[in-house]
Amino acid sequence: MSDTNSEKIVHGMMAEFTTVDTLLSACRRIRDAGYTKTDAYTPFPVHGIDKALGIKPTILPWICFFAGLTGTCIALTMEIWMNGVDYKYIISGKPFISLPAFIPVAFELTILLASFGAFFGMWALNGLPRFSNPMFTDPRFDRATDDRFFLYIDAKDERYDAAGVRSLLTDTGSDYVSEVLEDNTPKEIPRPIFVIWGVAVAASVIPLLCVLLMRVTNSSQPRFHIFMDMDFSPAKDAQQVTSLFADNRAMRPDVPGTVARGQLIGSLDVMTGIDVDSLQAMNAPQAQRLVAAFMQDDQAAIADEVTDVAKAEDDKETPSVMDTTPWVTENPMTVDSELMARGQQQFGIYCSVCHGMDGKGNGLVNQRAQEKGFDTWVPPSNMHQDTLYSDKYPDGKLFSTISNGIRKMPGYAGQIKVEDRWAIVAYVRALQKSQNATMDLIPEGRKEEVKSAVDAAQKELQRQADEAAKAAAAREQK
Amino acid sequence: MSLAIPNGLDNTVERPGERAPLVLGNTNYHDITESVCQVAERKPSAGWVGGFLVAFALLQMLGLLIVYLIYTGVGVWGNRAPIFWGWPIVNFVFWVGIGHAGTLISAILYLFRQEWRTSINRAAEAMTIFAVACAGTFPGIHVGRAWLAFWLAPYPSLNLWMWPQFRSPLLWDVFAVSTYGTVSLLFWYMGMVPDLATFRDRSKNKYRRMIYGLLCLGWSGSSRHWMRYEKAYAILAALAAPLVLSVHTIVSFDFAVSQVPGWHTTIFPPYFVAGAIFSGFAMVLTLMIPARSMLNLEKLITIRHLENMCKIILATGSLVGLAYGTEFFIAWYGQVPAEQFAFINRAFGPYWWAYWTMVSCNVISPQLFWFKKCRTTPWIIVVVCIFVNIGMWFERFVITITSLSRDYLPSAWAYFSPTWVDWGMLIGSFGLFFTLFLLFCRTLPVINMAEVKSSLAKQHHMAHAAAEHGEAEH
Amino acid sequence: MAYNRCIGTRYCANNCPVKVRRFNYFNYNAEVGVGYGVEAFPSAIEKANRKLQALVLNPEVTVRGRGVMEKCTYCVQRVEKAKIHARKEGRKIEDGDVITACQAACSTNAIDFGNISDEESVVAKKHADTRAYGMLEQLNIKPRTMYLARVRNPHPRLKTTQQIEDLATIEAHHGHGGHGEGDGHDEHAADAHGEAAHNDSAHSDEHHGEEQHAE
Repeated sequence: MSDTNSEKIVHGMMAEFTTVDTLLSACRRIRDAGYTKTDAYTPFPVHGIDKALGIKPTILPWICFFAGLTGTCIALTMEIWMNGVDYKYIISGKPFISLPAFIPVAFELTILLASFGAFFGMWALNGLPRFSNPMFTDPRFDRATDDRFFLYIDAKDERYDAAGVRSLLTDTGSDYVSEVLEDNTPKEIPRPIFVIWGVAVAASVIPLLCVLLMRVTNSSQPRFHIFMDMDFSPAKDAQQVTSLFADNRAMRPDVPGTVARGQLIGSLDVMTGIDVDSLQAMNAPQAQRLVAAFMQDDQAAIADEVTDVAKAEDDKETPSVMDTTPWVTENPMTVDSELMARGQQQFGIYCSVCHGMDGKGNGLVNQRAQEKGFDTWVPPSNMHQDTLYSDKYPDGKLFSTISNGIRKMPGYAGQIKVEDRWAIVAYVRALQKSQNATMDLIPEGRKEEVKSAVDAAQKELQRQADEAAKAAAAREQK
Repeated sequence: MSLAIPNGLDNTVERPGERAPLVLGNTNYHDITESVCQVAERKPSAGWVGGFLVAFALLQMLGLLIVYLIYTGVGVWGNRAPIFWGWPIVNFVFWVGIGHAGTLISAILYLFRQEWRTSINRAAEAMTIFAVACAGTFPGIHVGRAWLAFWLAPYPSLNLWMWPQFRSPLLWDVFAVSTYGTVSLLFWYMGMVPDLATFRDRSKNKYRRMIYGLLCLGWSGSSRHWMRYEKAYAILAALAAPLVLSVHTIVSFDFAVSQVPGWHTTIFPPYFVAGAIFSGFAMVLTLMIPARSMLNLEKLITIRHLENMCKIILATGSLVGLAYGTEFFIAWYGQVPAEQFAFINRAFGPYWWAYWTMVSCNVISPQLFWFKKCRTTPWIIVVVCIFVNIGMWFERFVITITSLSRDYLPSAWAYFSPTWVDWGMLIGSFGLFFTLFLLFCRTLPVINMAEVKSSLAKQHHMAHAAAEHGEAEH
Repeated sequence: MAYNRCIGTRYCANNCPVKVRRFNYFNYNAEVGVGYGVEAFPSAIEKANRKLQALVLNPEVTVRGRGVMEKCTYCVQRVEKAKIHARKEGRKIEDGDVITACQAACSTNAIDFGNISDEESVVAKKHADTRAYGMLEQLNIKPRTMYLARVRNPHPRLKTTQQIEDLATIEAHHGHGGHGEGDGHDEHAADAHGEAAHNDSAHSDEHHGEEQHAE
């Protein structure tokens, strides 16, 4: 065999043996003959062969030891840093750095890393994996893992000499001595392997591509959500819709009958402007309906009820409204300068746009409506008519009008708080009083001041009137 | 070259001054290779195909049940307050226990130079890996949000900004079981490398040769490699031995470190380890006895092997019985009312049937092994071992469920009843186990050929020595 | 409970000696659209919404999906609100700032809630009472929730030796508590001693309404 393949690289010479004993004696002979680059191939570990061949002990235990030590250090450092430094968390009555509790994990990691050291250290020291080995070229070598023992002398050995080695090996009692030649079988990996590998890689990418595609797709189909509950919060935001309720609002109004914190300002009288107890005496069903409407917190129903009450008034034409409706006659709030200031502010915000700052019914909206001549426009009331004074138009009724509206005026219950509405009532009363005030009402100390201011204002008005008259006369002359 | 040891010789008889042969018949190295390789090389038998189909169907069922479970919620199990841990944990501890024999046989018996381990260690290790795979399934799916179970790993998370809790026994358990699984896998694989090379060299088919060639890392059998390999194997054995003991110790910490009466016991670690070895050996025997006759391995897995394992079962079974007694003694001696009640409740409460099943299977049935007749009759061994397996499952049931069902406050007591999903998953886990085991029988070397050959070589050597000695005397 | 960190091992529930924990075994909120998988699409959520007739989730606490542990939060939203108010006003939380839902609903006013670190609060005083005991206190679980033992009021001359001894032990124990109560409180406590028979073992049989919870 070796003769016909002389052009091939020769790696060494091997001899086959059938028993352990013959192999061992052969090993001893070649060791004594001075060969050092030798090796034996056996189907199981043969004891004593390392001595027979002169193999040095391995450093593997040291690799293992240091790997294990690394494991201990990693585990302890990790545990101390994670639980004792970076994320301190009091639990189970143990200190942050609790060595007894850290031992199990430290032990496991020590064993794990030491085992890796033993396993991969063995690979590294043995040069495994090594799939191509010139020894495998000889078909007879297949039995090295079954029941045959091989002795090998490398060609790189100083004493190597093909003929001498061959005779030495034959001498040791080997039946079969052969040269180990370079393997010249084709090195290509068979095509089907590539195909399988390629298909597997391609197939493994498909799910990822699907996910990617579904994440970025422009189609009308919903996108794919990897983390569903991160993408869709079950909580609703303000102003969103829901199919949960008939009105489709996700924001819910208060449960009927609830009074929000700090919103309970007094009795139902304060809330409606009607003396409900008296109404109960006069018109029990109506009072019950009113209370029911309040219990339901149904603004429309309340408005209806109160409007009904007011309508009954108009129909009857009785000398006093108090005969039909027991309106609250006194402002239930404590009337002081603070309430007045509040009332003035609220009046300025909500009422003055129509009724004017002075309450005469000529606010900006009215002026514009008059200017444009809207025929459906109902001019706002002048608050200084005597029908609107407190003797004919009790505070309760005024409150009710602000709350529920009258004619074209809408109700402001939804926008102005109850106490603010009462504040407006108080302010309107003051406004009314201011227009018809006499000097007697002015405190003594300020009479002069007011008098001069009034005089100045009257003069100014006079001057304006004169100027207007002059201008009119001038226009006439022209 | 072969020294004739007559076929059918009773190797269970102790002859002083002689080592009992561990390989029977007129066996040489090649015969060993043949008898092991034929298992994987011949056409699968009808029994194998049938068994595989059944096991695979059960595995599919397990898979479907897991999908159903994760899709619906862990409430599909019978777990209800106060029995928050139910069958899945029973199954987990049961399978982890089974998974102890393999590495124990390999590692501890190796360190004690027990030659008889060589015929059974490969299958036992494989069984370990598969049992750990079954065990690993359960805690993973047991958590309420299985898709977040990776939070147990200490990885730097940008959305959590926190670290796992290393003072919790559950985390120890994660590390213990995963380390055990990994090291057992390394140990098993490393032991298989030379035998995979044998498979490679015997394969006629190019692809088969390539696959086994890759798996055996190009093993050549060089003496230098063998030397390092043996060193590495010994180190792994030395590492795996305390690891085996630590794993069930840490599993027992899940219970022992808690507050629950009946769990909070210092005897748990040794008791669990003894129980684990006990159940593991029983499972090995349950599998090996039918396998040795079906796969024609009687010459390699001899009655002596079986007998030795029976002795270990007897010893560990009695240890477990001692632990049961000690628990009662300590409960009485400790004078803690809750503790005392827990144990009275175990034996005479609503789960009395589970307790007495456990005691009769685990403590009473192995006592048969005092008789040599029972230790050497395979069918008796199989029956006893099946009882032991049942008993050990019940032991975990008793510990987990009876303790939880009645703890401190009677107002919170409840009775556990499993659902069909619980049953399905228990049966399905056997499907997983047997699917893997049957595949292993057909594709990998079921017996460690290299070690058996090495032991045969020793046997020959000693026979030679004895013969020479005898001649000299004559 | 940090719900969003919980993976649901249920170990805490096993170990809870008073078994107050409950587990979300299923997605009980599916009806209001906390879906998983395909159920998480908006259309599915809307569909689920239509099934539900009432909004049942408390919007002030985290929404819990399935697989997490559940525990009484002591109405954390109310506690937080009270804390914010108190902080705004630059004062400590006072009695009555936090009314838990159970407290509000309890018709017999058996429950008190407040700041136990404030010695002047009602709960702290009740914790210091000789009648106060914690559930399974012997396990060293240091419960914040304490109960007041039933008042038996036997005639002092009819007390058994056991009762007198128990009472002495309890008083000694409470005396070392170091709460630094004022004199007035001590007097009150002394009065109570005359009446209260601390009887833990009878506790579970007793009618709930007769007890007071101080949390």
